Amino acid sequence: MTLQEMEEMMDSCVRCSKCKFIPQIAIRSKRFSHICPSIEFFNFHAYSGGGRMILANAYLKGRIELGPDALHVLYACTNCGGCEVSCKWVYDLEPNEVIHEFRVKAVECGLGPLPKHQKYIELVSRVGNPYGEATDNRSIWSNGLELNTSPDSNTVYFVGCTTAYRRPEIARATALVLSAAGVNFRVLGTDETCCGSPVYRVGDLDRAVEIMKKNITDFKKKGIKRIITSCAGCYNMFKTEYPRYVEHDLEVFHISQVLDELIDDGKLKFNKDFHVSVTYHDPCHLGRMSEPHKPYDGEKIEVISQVFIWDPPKPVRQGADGEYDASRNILQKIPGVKLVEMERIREYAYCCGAGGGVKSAFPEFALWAACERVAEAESTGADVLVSTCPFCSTNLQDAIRSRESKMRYMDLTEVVLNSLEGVE
Amino acid sequence: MNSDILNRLKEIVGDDAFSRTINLTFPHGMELPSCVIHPSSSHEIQQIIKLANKKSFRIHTISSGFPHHSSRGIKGHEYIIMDLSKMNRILRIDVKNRVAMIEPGVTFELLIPKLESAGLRLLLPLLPRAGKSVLAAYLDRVPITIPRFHWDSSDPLLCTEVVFGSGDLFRTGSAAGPGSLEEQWSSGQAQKNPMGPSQFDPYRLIQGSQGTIGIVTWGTIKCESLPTYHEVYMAGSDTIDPLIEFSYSILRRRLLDEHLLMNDVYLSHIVESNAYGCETVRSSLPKWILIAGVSGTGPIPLDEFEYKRDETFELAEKHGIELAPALGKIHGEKMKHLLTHSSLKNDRNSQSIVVSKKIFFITTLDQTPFHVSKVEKCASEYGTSTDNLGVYLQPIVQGVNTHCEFDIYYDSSDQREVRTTERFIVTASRLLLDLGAFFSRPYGAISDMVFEKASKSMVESYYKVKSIFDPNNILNPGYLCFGRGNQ
Amino acid sequence: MLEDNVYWALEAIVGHSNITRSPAILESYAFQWGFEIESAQRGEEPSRFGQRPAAVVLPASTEEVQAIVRICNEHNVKFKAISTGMGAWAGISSPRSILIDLRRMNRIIEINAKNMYAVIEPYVTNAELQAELLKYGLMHHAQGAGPQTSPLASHTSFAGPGFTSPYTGHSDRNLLGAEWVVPNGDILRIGSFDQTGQWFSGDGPGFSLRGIMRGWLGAYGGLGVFTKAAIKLYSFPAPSDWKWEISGTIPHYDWKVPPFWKLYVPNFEEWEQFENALYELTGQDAVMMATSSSAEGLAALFTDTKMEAIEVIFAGLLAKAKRYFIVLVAAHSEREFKYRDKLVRHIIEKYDGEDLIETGDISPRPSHYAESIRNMLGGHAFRFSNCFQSTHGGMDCISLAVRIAQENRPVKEKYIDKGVIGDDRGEGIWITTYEGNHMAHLEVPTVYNAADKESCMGYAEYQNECNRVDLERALGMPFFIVGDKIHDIFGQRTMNYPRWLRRIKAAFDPNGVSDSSHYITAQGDE
Repeated sequence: MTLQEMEEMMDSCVRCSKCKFIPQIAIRSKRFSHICPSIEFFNFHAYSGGGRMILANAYLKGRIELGPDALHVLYACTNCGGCEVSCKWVYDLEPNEVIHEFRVKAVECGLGPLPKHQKYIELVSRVGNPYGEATDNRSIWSNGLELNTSPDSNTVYFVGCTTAYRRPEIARATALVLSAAGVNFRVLGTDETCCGSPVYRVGDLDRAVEIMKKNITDFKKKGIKRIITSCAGCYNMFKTEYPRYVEHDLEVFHISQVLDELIDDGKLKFNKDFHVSVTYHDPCHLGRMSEPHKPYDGEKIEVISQVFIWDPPKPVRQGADGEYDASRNILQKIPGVKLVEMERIREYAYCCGAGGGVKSAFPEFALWAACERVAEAESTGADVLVSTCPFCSTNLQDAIRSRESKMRYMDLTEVVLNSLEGVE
Repeated sequence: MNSDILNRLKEIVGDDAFSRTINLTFPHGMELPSCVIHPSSSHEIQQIIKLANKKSFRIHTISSGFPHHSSRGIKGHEYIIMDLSKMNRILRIDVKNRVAMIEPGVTFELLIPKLESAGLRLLLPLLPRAGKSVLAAYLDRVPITIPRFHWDSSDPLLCTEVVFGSGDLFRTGSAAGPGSLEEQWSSGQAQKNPMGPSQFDPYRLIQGSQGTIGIVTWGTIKCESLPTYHEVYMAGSDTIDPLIEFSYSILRRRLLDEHLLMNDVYLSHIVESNAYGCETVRSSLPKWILIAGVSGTGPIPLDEFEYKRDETFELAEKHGIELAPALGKIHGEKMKHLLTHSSLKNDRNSQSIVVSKKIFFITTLDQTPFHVSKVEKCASEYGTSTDNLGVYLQPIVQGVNTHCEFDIYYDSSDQREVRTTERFIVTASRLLLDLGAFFSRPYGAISDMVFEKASKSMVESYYKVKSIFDPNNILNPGYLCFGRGNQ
Repeated sequence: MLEDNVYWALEAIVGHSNITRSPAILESYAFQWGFEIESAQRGEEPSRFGQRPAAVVLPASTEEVQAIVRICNEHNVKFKAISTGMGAWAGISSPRSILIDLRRMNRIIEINAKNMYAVIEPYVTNAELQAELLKYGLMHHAQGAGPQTSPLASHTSFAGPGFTSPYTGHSDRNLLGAEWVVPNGDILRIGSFDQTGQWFSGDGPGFSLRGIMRGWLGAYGGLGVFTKAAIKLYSFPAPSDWKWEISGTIPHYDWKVPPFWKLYVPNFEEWEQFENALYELTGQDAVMMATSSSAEGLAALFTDTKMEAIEVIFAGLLAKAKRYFIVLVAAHSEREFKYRDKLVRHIIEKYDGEDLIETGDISPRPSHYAESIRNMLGGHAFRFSNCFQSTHGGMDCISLAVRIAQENRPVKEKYIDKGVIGDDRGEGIWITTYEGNHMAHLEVPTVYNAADKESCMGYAEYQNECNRVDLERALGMPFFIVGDKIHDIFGQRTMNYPRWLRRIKAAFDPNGVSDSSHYITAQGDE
């Protein structure tokens, strides 16, 4: 949908502020009642899901220009989708989609994204990753590992830029665990390039779609039919966003889903106790944001005066069908591990604060949000904060250091690896 | 007062309702009024107030005599007494909506039986004087003995008709309209909503104002159904703390009807009228007494009564409290009678030598032991025996706060004792004020202390309100912070 | 519209990051639910966009609010304060106005569990407060506007019915005191706090300043800023070891219903039976909730999505639900529950009713119990078209509520026939009782389409007609009788009350800086 097509929806916002909180029924404390890091940090209503809808609507109606302040509001958002989950409890509104579409519009107008974003987009175009790292260094994570990979396998472990260059421990753990379970897979090494996530999130749709097309073509050329990724952002792109713009028939799995199945099938057996209390952070892109956009072809009909429904019923992307259980299943199966939940979990998990271009453009805000999440994790009394996204990992570990927290951060794959005797 | 004014007043109310013979008991030090008039309608009251505004005289309104604690009186101004005791009609009793509309001269002894015959009960203060005006009591936020029905401190007062000090007639709450009372009745209304009209709550300004804002010409009073089953139980303790703890647990549940605590001195004085009788009763009692009423009403009253009784007893047992139908020489039936009737004993015409002066304020129940200990200590410093110190604690507003009352009994024929008691009252009140007692209904000297303590912005606000509704300070000057002179 | 020196003076109070005059950010404060109706009522094009404030400030303390208000007085700048800020009354009405967004003032200052009161700041929400109170076995009166709205706003400034009103009353009557920055910049701490430093009583010494601060409707932010409120609390009927536990996934959450809780939907053929049953049941102070609506409303309340609600409506509820009310019995003990359960059943039988839950016509899930107590059910009414608003509102007793329902139906049907509002056959109402049944009110929630000009105009016309009906037939004061013009119309048949409101306004807001658009001006409309 274009911004224009969203106007009626935006006119329907009642400015109720539900988008600022987790679903109201789920609130168990004042401390952890919020869902939107942006409104919590910046406080002006514009910095909420609903506020940004008003902003987009005002722009569309010619009431405001897309100047620096508007761009600040538009981009100081992790686009985490939390607002939309809470909103849809009642309304037929999609604030998170509006925010993304408004970013697309900003880029089309030549006003967005922000300079920091432009810089990394350029790096993606130039060297295939947003960090400006040399392509040759993409496989450094595997140095010294004896991996049982199969270069001809139609299953690829898609490492992703952040994992490859910034969180190599995740890549190593993932590859070792897959190998230990006897999974036939390969890695693309220096042939792997950015999935397009950082470009897509900030609204540079044209370039993002170019990347999508290139990647799909490359995968096809290489005979790849199945993607496994340890990055929630990459997973979301391949699984949820790619199909909106590029046709493909690849099977896409997050590592948590693969491992959960391997454990169930008896192919991965834990042989070492890991006595630790853990709490699990749902990455937005694996959770609520990974729920597929189901194609829909139907029409709006007035079923009762002024009450419209979609015929046939239109699927509601509400966050219920994100991936929430695989990681929890795994953690609960590891001998010695005790899973203690935070208050904000699953579709209403609090964002780590890094996504949507925030970590690069608004580092202070990103760190603040991560500190909020770590504080919540600490409140459970757990020793270890576990998640399964390299971007969350970086930001949450920054927060752990910043808060001088006693908590430890581990990726899910590291926890699994830690429970496998003799695999290292 | 000039004769033109007096003649005009006589013209307004009629010869029979005008008197220059002052046949009232006046508080000490109060100057005599120019006349006493007995208006019979809001229209007459309006005319009188308009005249007062025009001719600059003051009006002191009473409906059943002066309050015990009374004002410092009106000095330096001509004034008249407006006695509303003859406006004593019960205008309407609506059983379905459990509400009575009454004029200010309606007394407790008049209203209670009328309501009872209609199947309703009045939410009573503890032993109100039989001849006391019901409206005057509720306009003064006198506490009622059933905290569960006391949702707001304004209860059970609902709507009013009032003539403001400006001479304007007004109706408060839903009674304001739209439409006349007759139209409202015809659309099913019963003047039950005290709030408003619209964006202000004038009833909250009239109530507690001690007659300084307007003169109420009728009011609606929230009533309850007369219980089919009703028992009163009592529990005693040598210390107050267990009774307070139990009170907290049961106040939350809204199980009890009457719920009050008092000491042996207070209880003995309300059940007996002579010294010997008091002492006999008191000696049979523990130091502290909790009184608990349980009732059953409605379509399955026995079920309600039994479940509430059983829950109450179970909770009491958990707190180590032994509730019983009698305590010492007092039976629950007698208590029930006292709690559901007005008091003849406390009538103004009582000839008793032993009388009491009161200190009362609002606090929270958990702070009352502290206040009691301080007052007892202060009493001992004045040589006042604690045997003469009655304490009555009445949880109000469903238990959120508590009316705390000290009654100091003394021999009115002994001038030394009278003076000591008066000094003690002032000292103890000052002490309590400093210790956090909230004198929400301040009279006389206490009023001065309270408004001295109040913040400047608060006092200024009081004057702003006064200037809106009684711009010429016609009504009851000398009460609250509104001094004797022109403000 | 603000001179630089004024802006800088405000900035000096709150700090650079807590003030803005950026049009983009201000615009988000110019958009409100209900603006489209008010603009239509003014004869303008219906739009949710209204007046943009000249600046928005985010104070963090009462002292900052006071300093802001003083600057406004000094420089003739109007202001309005908002907490969670939902609805037309949260907007400002003239260009030289600032909005004071109180979201940084969000502390629960005190929970006095023993004496059952809490002291809160403006941006504490109902759900947040309830979540914290449950830890003490307590709850508060939460207004029907929803769990995400501010209890301080309702208790100090707005009409406050709620789903638990039979048990917890009305917000006006739950206030125990308030800290109030009056329009001239003075701070009032009304009630016991001024004398004792404790918040247990809001009244006195002498008369109660609650009398000028809000009234039944609330002053809608037209008479200063409330920075703290002390409010009454109530026992939450659940065992001490019970905890608020949610499982499942949106939209079908599951909730651990406390023991001794039960919902009923007594349904009767005629209004008379309905009225008698409601009087008799709620008169016993035995229920947490007693509320009435239409078949469509019932379907919306006890389903999780719009589609599910529509399916339930057409599956037979439309024919079955006549005059019903929803009752929630929430008892503290088995003994208490048995009595209350028997009472409900007795009354259903006595008046030839039936329980629509027992007959299987509607099936509330555990989550609907949670939504009942968290005041979320009102939000379900938005599901039909993302929008509704209420007409009428008269509050006195059950008989009046029934009468308004009867008088409203033919009026509403006219607008349904025009196709401008949602078709509920004229039956869509909301009645709740208060304080047992000592009071009751009725409003008429009405679905319309905010994105459709004709629908907005039609709803506005319907609301105007409802107001006229209420005025002419003495059906009580409707909810949205605010602002000079309509006050003066209603004043003519309501003891000329605007004259007193104006005097209060003049006395407490001598410079007329507190936005009067939803209150009254001292001068009137001349």
